[in-house]
Amino acid sequence: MTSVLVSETRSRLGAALRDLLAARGLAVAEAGDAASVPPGAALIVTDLAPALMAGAAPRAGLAEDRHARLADLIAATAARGGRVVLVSGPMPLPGVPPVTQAERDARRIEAALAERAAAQAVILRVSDVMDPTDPDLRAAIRALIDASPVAGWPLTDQVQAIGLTDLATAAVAAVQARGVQGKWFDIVHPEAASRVAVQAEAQRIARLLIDPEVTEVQCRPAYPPVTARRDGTAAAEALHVRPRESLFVLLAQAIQGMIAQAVQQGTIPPIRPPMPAVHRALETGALPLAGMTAVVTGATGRIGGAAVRMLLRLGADVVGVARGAAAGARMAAALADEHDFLARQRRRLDAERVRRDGGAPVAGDPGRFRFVPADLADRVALTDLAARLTALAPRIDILIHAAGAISRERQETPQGVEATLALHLLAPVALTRLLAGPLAAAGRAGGAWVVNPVTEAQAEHPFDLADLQSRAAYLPAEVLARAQSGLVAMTGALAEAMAGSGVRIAAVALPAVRTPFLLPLDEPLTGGVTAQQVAQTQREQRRMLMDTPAHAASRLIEVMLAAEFAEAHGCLIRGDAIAGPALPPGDDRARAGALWSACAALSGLPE
Amino acid sequence: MAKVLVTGPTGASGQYILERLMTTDHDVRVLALPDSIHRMNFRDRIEIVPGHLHDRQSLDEALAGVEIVFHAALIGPPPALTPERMIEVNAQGTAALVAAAAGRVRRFVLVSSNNVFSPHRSPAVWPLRDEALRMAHGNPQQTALGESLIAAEDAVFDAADRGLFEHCTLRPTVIAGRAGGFIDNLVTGILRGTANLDLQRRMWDVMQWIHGSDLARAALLVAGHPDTANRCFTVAGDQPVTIYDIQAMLWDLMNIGRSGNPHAEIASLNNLGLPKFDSAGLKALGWVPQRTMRDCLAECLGRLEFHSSASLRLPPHMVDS
Repeated sequence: MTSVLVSETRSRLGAALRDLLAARGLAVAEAGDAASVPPGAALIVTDLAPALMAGAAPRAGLAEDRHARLADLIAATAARGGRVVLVSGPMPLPGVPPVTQAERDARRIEAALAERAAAQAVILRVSDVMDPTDPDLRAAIRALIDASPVAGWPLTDQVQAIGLTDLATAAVAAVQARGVQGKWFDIVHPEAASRVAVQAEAQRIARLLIDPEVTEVQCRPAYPPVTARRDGTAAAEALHVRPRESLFVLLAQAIQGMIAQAVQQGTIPPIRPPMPAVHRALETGALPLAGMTAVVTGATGRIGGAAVRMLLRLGADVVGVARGAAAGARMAAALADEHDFLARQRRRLDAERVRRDGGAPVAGDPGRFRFVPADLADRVALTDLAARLTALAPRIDILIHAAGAISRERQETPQGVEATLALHLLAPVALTRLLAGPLAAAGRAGGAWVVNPVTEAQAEHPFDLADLQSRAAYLPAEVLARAQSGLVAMTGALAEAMAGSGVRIAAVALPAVRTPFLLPLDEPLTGGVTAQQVAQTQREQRRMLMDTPAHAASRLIEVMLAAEFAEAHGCLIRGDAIAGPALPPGDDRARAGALWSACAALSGLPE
Repeated sequence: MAKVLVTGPTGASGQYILERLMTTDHDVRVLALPDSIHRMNFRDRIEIVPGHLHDRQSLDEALAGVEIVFHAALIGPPPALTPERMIEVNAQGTAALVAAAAGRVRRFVLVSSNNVFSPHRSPAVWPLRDEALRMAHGNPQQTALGESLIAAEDAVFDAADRGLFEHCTLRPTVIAGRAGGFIDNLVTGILRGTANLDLQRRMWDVMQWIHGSDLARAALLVAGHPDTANRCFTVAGDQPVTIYDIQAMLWDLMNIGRSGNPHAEIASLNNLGLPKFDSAGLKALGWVPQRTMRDCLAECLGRLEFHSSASLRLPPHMVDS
């Protein structure tokens, strides 16, 4: 293989060439003196290239002794049959004089050196060489972004750059290509931009690369096109290499490097991808709920079950409540089995966090689960439950009412109350009121949260005081929506009742979640086998659009952990934001008051 | 040489891992669904155990004497899958395999996915590294997929934590190659003009496709390397592209020799040029992706042309209309 000499490897171009040549398997060395040039070796002269960054201290012209040494090297290489490649400055354009002293020197010396190579040298002409890692280029870009008057780059009103890697590739190609001796080529990327556009783009990129909250697609504006002054197609055709890195990409790489360096030096804080507090805590083994006690109704349901598991992982002890004792016992056994797995997982995630971000390890284990069976729709069972819970947990920091059930026909509780109303409105309100003691104890200690998940449909079906128990037409989905609309209003009312106790309450509107909850409402499939399969597929497709239970549960728990929900007391939360007060001030307070009284009466509680 | 097991040997990644193993001295055994055996490659050179992940007997048979497991039998859309199915195969299937392999195999190579990572929408947080945090996100199907994959990973990590084997977890981005369902849909949509490119630009953002053969080289590299025990590796190609870049590249492929690509401008405007993914861990071991985007797209075009070729008389129900 041809051995290649590089005239100097201290400059960025020299070093880049050396690395690229080595990567290609070529034997590369820094050129010594003329006598040591091996026969047939190629020589790439980089000393002539104008300062890669004109904003740097202007390069002194080539010193005379260096000039002489180069001349001898070139002559020796040519004499021994090797190829000479000169990386030099640009050919002056009509009306555009050489801008820097280095460029002027290059023009002057180049002619002399080329003559020493018996006019067989290949000359590669470059002007704006952009190396994104060059601190001088970065400083100049910084000045450009700050609109500082001393920005040394770009030098002219137009930029047409070449990346350092592309230039090195072209130089290597020039060593090996045929039919290029004695010729010169402009090595440029075809894309040119005005100085104004480069500045605007640099500022846009800098803003973008600092902000982790950007979620919209970012598109570069179409800056007014600029006719490129230099044409690199001759080089592309002769050398069979096309520049790949456009000016804007090099700019982005440089700015990204600048920001990374600033983060490393501590000048700006690390930029982390945004993540909901729940997931960040789960993935870093944090225990934000350590020492707390949570009560989750509907614990054996999908959403309740997912919430239980998340709460345990976050460190809370959880008491789960549901109607089915057998399912609850199975759940308790499964979670007891899983405890060691979750503990190991947490320790491992914590250790990874320490490795990645530093800091001290967090000690602790996931919480423990207990199950208490109760039919929340049954007033007597509810009162018993409250007493049992109060005995079990003198302090309740978290209360999530995730219990739900729906049926095609109107059903009544043992007390003769319509079942959907009893479970979805009366039970959450009554249980919250009955657990006021333990909740307030937590409130005094540091705060407690009550969370009421509701469907989106509740907004369209306001509760009907005239027919709370749906004795008129019974449409199950509407009955549910009205009950939950009432729950939202009562969330506001409870919030007022709890004001100042340290207990906060919020309602969270959830989109449809993929659970068996609505399955009792599905009509039995009719028709032939194919028709039934089609109907089943359509059902399945609708269900595929439903949220996962774990995601829904994480939305409920986010209320307790995220800073943006700290002020959500008495509010309805929708999506990632507080939608507004659960009981808006403009609403009919008499109506809410009447509902409060009705709930109290039906639940056997005082006003 | 060591006995190795490949699960999912006919899948997008499994078939390439199998192919790469054919160039080594390993004794190769595969665990495959009976329905897939007829389209298995290298049937005469490998041992086939028909079965599935929930059948302990076939797992035991498949794992007998095995030192290294390449678990590539995880599924994801397309085609659309129900969350229950994804949990069944990815989470529960992996857990079953891990339970059977625990204490028996030396190394467990899991082919997971970059879908486990939390959203990294803003270029300010690029490149996404091997140690990025995980979070299931996206539309409900994507969220369900993410949850099933994270559960699969957690089962593997726990077994490694307990010293039952060493794990290497690969998280590839979009896998191109012979079984590239996702990229086939993408390319077909662009060619037919039915794709909503704006929407897809938002959905898929910046991609860095990795060819199955490169993924397979990474898998074999980490399987045998002393420094890769109990580590996760992102496997991504080097070229960050958006759907607009793919459109422009397709034009180039179908207009060889012509210049003036009408899609080049919008592609350039939409791509900052910065990579979203960084396979730093793998590159430190000397791995680099070799197949370019152009290779992947040319292969895909060839495959699509085959399927729609008039000279090949496929029955109507086999030709997507």
